[in-house]
Amino acid sequence: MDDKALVEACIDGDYSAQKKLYQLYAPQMMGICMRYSSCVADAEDILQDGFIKVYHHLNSYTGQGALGGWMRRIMINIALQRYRESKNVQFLHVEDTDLHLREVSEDVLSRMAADELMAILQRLPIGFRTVFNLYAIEGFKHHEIASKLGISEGTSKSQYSRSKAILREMIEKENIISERAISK
Amino acid sequence: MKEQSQNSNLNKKFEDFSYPVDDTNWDAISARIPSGSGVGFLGEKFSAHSVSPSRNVWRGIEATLRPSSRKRFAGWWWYGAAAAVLLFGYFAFLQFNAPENQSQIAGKHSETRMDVKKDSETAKPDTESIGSETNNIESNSTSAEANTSITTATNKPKSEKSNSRPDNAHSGSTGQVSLADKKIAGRETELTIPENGLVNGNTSKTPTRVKRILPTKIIGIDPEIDFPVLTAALAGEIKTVEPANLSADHKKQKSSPFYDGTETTSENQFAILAGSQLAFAGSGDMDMAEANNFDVASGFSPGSEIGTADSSVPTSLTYSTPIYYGVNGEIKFWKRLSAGLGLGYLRMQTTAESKYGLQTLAKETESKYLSIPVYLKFNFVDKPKFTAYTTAGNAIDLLIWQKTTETFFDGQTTESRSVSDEPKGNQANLYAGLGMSFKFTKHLGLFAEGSLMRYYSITGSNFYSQQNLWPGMRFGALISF
Repeated sequence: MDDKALVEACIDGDYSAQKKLYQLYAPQMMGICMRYSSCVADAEDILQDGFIKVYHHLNSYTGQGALGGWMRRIMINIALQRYRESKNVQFLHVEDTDLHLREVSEDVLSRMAADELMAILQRLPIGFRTVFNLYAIEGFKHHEIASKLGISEGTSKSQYSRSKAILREMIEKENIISERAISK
Repeated sequence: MKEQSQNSNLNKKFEDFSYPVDDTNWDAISARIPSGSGVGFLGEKFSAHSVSPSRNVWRGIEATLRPSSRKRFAGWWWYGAAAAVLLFGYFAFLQFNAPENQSQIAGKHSETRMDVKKDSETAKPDTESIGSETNNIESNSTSAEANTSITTATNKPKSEKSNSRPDNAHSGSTGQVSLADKKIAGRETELTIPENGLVNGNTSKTPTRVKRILPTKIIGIDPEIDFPVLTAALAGEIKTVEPANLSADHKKQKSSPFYDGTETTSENQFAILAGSQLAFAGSGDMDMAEANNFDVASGFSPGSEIGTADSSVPTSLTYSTPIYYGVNGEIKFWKRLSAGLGLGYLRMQTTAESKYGLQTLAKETESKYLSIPVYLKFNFVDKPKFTAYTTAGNAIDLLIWQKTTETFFDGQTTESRSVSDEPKGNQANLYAGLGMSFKFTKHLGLFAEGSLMRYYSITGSNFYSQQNLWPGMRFGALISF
């Protein structure tokens, strides 16, 4: 059963198709949710809410573009919505001097395994993590991130810069990658 | 045609035309290209990254996707609860109207007795054994009338009976054998048993009315009550159990094996449960050791065999439906675990019956207890409106009142007397049960619970302890704070 047929069956209320859709995409979506969460339980909350939204809005999926991509955007939107609603989320103020901190190079990050990256990303403060995710992984521009999170474009840039500096500290401290590799 | 050829020439002229574009324009354009599809410099690394979610996620999704099945499920539980409450009401009705029930059954029994009597016409009385008993009794003499009362069922006027009995009992007149004044379990009692099976010289062999019947188990559905109609009427207002919004507590609840996608009632609560319990009645063979303790045959025995462990004498026990009314206070000291303490009134009734030929002796004991249950309760389903739970506990039952009635049926007539100084004993029971409760509002609900109980004696004898497990049902109202 291809994605289109699966979607149609889900819209018709076919329980087995709904379960099949979940089984097909849940692990991938869970990976996305994990990046926006600090623990598994939070990620599962996002995943659950996201899939409920997927099932309720499947008829708005036009079939253009991959179904996985469409679901991915829903998951990210749910995650961002939760952060916006949460009172605990604060984007840390970044001093100008902080911008001169040494940042980890994108090349170093590219050479790390996904699981390693995930482990250190989850330890970033939520504001830094969200901006880093949106920019470095999802590929959003800073002005898009600013719009999504309700912050200024400058804040987005500084948060991203600061997150890379924190990542470098973490990597150095835990010897995930050798000093020489980081300095390259 | 001319215009078309001119356009064609212009197209060819601009076919190879190009204009250099500044890079800054591209920035503006690229900013408008839809992004956020995993195209960041780390996007590819995470494109194949996946993590398996726990099973609870699908359960939660499923609960939201299939609300209709949940509605049906909740609906059936409501019907069940309504039926249970009605059933309780019905049993309570029977219990509180016991005299009427007994009189109805008495009519049926007198027909039975008539049949027995016909048989007894051909039966030869065991005059030998009665005679020997007579000698013993005669030597014991007089008066414990203050302790006992004797009712005799005949068609004679009451005043005549009361006047004639003492004279006949001690006169040894023709046709009468006095078995009175026999010592029973440390007390004096008095009884007149006619030799020919009739009372006080009444020559009619057909008793017109049996005043006191042998106790009969009253269990069943009264066909005069239209049960299905009542059930449907009460169950008319059915509210569905909607999945609650997910909260911060969700993550902890998800780790529970009972998690089904909805939120539990997380706050501690104090509840008062006011309810009643019915244990199902039954009957069984009597433990002969208990029978001796119970002194079944004393005072009425036409022969010394009754009341002993002689297997030729069938002895049985009938348990009437015990009823419990009480109030429990309950506190939820953990999210799913509560502890409760109660105070209740318990009424129990047993009948021990011995037969000797056509003669039957029954001893009916009614006991009332002050019951103090202590228990733990675990909600394995814990929703705002519905809970399903398992409970286990212990109850101490302190005897506050007891009445024993002995009834003798000689094949033709029935005689009864009440005994007030039977040995009294406290009891206890261990019980475990499964139940559910429904909240109509935040503070008010109903509960129904099935349980198994094991009685044991603390002091004195207790017939309920002879049976290993007693099934019971408890129903009532629930008030939460």
